[in-house]
Amino acid sequence: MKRNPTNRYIDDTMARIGNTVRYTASFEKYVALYDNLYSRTRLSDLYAPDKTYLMGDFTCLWLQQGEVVITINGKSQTMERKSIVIIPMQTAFKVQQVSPDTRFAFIRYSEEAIIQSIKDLGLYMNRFLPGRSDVTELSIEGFKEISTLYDDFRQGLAHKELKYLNLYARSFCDYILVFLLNAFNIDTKIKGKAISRQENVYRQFIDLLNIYANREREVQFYADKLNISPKYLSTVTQTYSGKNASEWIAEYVVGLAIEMMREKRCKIQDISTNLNFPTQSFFGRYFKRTTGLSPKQYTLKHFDKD
Amino acid sequence: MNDSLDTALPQIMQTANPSLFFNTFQNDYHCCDNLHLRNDPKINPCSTIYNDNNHFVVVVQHGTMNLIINGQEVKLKSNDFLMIMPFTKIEILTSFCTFFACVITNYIALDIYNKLGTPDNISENCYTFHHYHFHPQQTEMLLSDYLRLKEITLREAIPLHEEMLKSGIGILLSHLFSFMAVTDKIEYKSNIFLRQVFDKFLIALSQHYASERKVDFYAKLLDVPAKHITAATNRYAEKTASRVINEYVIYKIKAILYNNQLSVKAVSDMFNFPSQSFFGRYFKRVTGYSPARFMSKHSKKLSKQTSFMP
Repeated sequence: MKRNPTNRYIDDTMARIGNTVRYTASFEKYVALYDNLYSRTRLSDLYAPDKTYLMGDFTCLWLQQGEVVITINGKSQTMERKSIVIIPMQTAFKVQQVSPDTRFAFIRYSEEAIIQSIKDLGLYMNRFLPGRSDVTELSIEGFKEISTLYDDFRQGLAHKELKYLNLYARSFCDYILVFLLNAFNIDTKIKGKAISRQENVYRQFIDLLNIYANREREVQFYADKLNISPKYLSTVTQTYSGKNASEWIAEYVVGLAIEMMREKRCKIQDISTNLNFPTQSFFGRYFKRTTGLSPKQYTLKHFDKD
Repeated sequence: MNDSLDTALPQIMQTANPSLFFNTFQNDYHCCDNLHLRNDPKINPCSTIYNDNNHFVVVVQHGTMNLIINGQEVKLKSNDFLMIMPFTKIEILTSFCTFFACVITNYIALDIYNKLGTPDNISENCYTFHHYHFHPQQTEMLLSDYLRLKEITLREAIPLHEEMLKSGIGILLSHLFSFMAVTDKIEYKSNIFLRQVFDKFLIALSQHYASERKVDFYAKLLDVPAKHITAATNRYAEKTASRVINEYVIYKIKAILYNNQLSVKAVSDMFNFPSQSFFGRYFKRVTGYSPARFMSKHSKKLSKQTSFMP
C-alpha cells in the first residue's frame, strides 16, 4: 500500500510501531495485537507521552486495570478499568498520563484490513468517524467477552503453521469489529430490503471518500476504484444526494481542513501539505472556491472568538 | 428448512423440543449437537434427509456414527470429520456418539468460500462428501469454535446478528480447512462404470457450468453417449442429467445474487444467457421464484446510511 510521503505523522507512527516489533501477535501487515497483560511493556513505550500521532490505522484500545489520560482530536479524556475507545484513521491521538499499574490491550487494523472488513460485512465507514471516538465504559459481560475474544484471537494467531491463517485472521477481525459496533450501541438497524445497485455505488463512494479524501481529489480516481465511469458516478451521487461527485469531494476535503484548523490550530502550510496539495496558494484557492472565504478569513471568522 | 430435516432432528436429539439443541438463524444456517447426552449418546435411525441446499459439517467427538450417503456406507469414529456437500441423500443408522454439526445454506457457504479462498476440492464438488480423521487437539479447537458459534446463535436480540454469525462460521471454517490441508482424506473409490461416468460428469460440470447447459456438450466432452450420463445421474442422483445441470447452475447463481454486488443483468451475461428475460424465466423454471424475489428475501442486507458529514 502506497503512503503519501509528505504525511509525516503517519510515517512516524508506522515507523515507531513497525520497527520496534513490540506486538504480541500479528498477521502480516493486516492486523496486530499489543498488550502488557503478561509482560512489562508500558503504553509509553509504544506512544511517547505528550507527542501527537496522526493515526494511520484503525485502533481499538481498552484497559483491564489502571488509569490513562488520552487526548483524541484535542479532546482530553480519562480511561479507567473496563473503558474502551475506538480511534479511527486520521485521528490525532496523544497519551498524556499513564498510571504505573496500567494493564492495556489494543488491536490495530491496517487500512487494508478495515476496508476489507467493512466490505465483507456490508458496513459503512462513517460509523467510526472521529466525532464518535469517545471513551466508553463496557458492561461487565461486554468486558469479559472482549477479554476472552482477545485472548482467543491472540492464541489463534500464534498457530503460524495453519495454512488458512489469513482466513482465520479475517474472520476474527470481522467478528471483533461487529462486537465493537454492538458494544458501542451504534445504531445499526438493518434495512428490510436489499438496496439498489445505484445506491450501493453511492455508498461505496462515500466510504472511499472517508478513506482517501486526504490525498485524492480527482473524480476519476474514485470512479476507477469503483470500476465505473466518472460521469456515471456523478449521475448517481446527484440522484441520491443532489450533489455531484466533485462537490462531494470538495466538501470532504474542506471538511478535513476545517477539522484540522479547529483541533490543532496548525499552520495553513501544514494543512496544505497534509492534504496533499502541491502549494499553499493552490490550497487557498481550492478552499475559497468551496467556502467563499480564504483559510485565514475562515479561521478569523469561526475560531477566533475565544 | 427441509421438511425431512425438521422431522429427523428431534429423533436424533432424543427430545421433543429440538430448539433447545438445534438453533436456527433465518433458515439460512443451523447448528446442532448432542453434547448434552454425554452418558447415553444413542442416536436412533431416522427418516432419510434429502439435502439439496446445504453444506453439512459434522464432527464426531466420541463414539461411532453410521451413515449412508448417496448409497455409500460411511462409518465415523472418534475425532472424525465429515463435510457433506449439497445434493445428497443422507440416512442415519443406529449410532452411539456425541457430535456437533453445522448446516450452512449453499449461498452463504459459497459466499464465505469465495471471500476467503477455499481449498480446491471443496467448493466445486456436489453430490459427494469429504471424510477426514483429525487429531484430538484439532477436535478441541473446532469444539471451542462451535461453542462460540452456538452462543451467538442463541442470542437473538443483538443487532448485526447475521454479520456476527458469518464471521463466526468463517472462524470455524478456517480451522477446518487448515486441518484438512494437513490431513489425508479418506478415499471412497468405486470401480463401477456408471459411477466413474457420474464423477467425471460432475468434474466437467464444475468447469463448464458458466457457459454450457446442454447434456450433449458434456456427452461429447466425456466421449460417452448422452444416454449414459442420464443413466448415471438417474442412478446416483435420482434426477435427469439436465436437471442436475440446471440445479448446479442455479446453485452457483444464487451465491452470486446473494452477494448483492452485481446486477441481475451482469449475472445473466456472466452465465452466458442470451438475454436477461431468458435468464429470469430459466431461474423461475428451476426454482419456482424469480431472481428478484430471491434477492429481496435472502441477499446480503446492507445497513442503512446515517449522516456522515462532521
